[in-house]
Amino acid sequence: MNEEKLEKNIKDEVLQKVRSGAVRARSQSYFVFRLAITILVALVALAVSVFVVSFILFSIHESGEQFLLGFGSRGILTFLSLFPWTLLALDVLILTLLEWLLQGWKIGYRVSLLSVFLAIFIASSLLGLAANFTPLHGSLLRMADRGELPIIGDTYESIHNSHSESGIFRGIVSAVQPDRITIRHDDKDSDKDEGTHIVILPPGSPAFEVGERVYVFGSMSDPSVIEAHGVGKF
Amino acid sequence: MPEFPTDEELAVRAQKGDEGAFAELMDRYTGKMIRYGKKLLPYEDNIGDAVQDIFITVYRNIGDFDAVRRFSPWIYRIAHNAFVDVLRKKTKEPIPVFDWNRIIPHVLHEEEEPVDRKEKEEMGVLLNKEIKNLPPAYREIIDLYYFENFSYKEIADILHLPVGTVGIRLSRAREALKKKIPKDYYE
Repeated sequence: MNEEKLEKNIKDEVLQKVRSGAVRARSQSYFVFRLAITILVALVALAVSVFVVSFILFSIHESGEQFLLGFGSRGILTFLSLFPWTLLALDVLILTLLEWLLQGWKIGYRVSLLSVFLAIFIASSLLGLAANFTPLHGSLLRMADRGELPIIGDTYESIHNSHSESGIFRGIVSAVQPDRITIRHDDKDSDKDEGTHIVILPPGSPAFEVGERVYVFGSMSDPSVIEAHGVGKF
Repeated sequence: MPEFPTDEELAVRAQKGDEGAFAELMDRYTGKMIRYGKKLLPYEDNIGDAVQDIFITVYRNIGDFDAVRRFSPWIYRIAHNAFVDVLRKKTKEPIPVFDWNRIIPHVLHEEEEPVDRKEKEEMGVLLNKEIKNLPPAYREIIDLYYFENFSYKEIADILHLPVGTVGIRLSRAREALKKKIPKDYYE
């Protein structure tokens, strides 16, 4: 078939379908509705992402795991092993969904996927950081402690999980000596970090006072003695 | 009513249900779409079906066209998707699922885009000889730049690539062509 005839055939067939009503143009309201749904889903995805990021920051701060970063390479490795990677993966998944939605929209033109992803990631991290300074997560944690937070209650409760197998102990200082302190801990479970422990302080430790809440990273040389690599005050 | 309405004016009329305006757009673009399809699918017999699908998609989605922008990159974007679908379904030519160039933008230097129309025409004659032997991604970018005369920005819109990446891909396509064309053609 020559090109002229092919052109004519295409035009005739398409116009015949249009005129017969077999092919109909979508209404303007369809596109407005689609745009509204896209914006709504994008906002929900962004809000969930902000919540997840702020929870990650809150859980690190609340559990005291940020102290590990100051306890040398062993502390950093332990911090990485305890980091909530699953939540971070969930956040990346949400942001990928958000990016996919935005790419289908006109805003996606001539912007690289990496740029869009980084922009959304930075925006969500900054908003998450800001949300971390609000009383939101503290209130939710208290609700979870009282058993009044459905669905995500266990996630909040996991902030209090003991990590004695990783060398992490938390407690309140009950006695202070020059090279050691005594801490008492009870988080209403029956794991290894319960009870009273003597903490042998590493050289260069700050002064402690009775009643202070501390975070201890070390190893248990005896069922009640912890040789600390580092101790931080909450 | 203007004597020779622009594509964008016709598209706006088609959005309001003017079938005549849509028919006029078809008059202007059917030949172009066939030629574009032949560049991208040189061994494919069913260009006609693919071009029909393009116009049906255009008609269905004409309400989504933004009249502030140019019509031609919009319809070429739809055509690109349609022809890539045909390539995926009917040929064994590899189409990368994951393309780093789409993710990581390249920096575009102003001098990268040749502005000499005569040089473009001379290149066009040469390219016609060997373009069929290039991979689909190179065939397409050469066609859009040298034959359809789109700017880098418009090609970026059509292919959903960063502008800098268009320059890089075009330069790689030229290099691939140089390997196929005897040296005395371009030296």
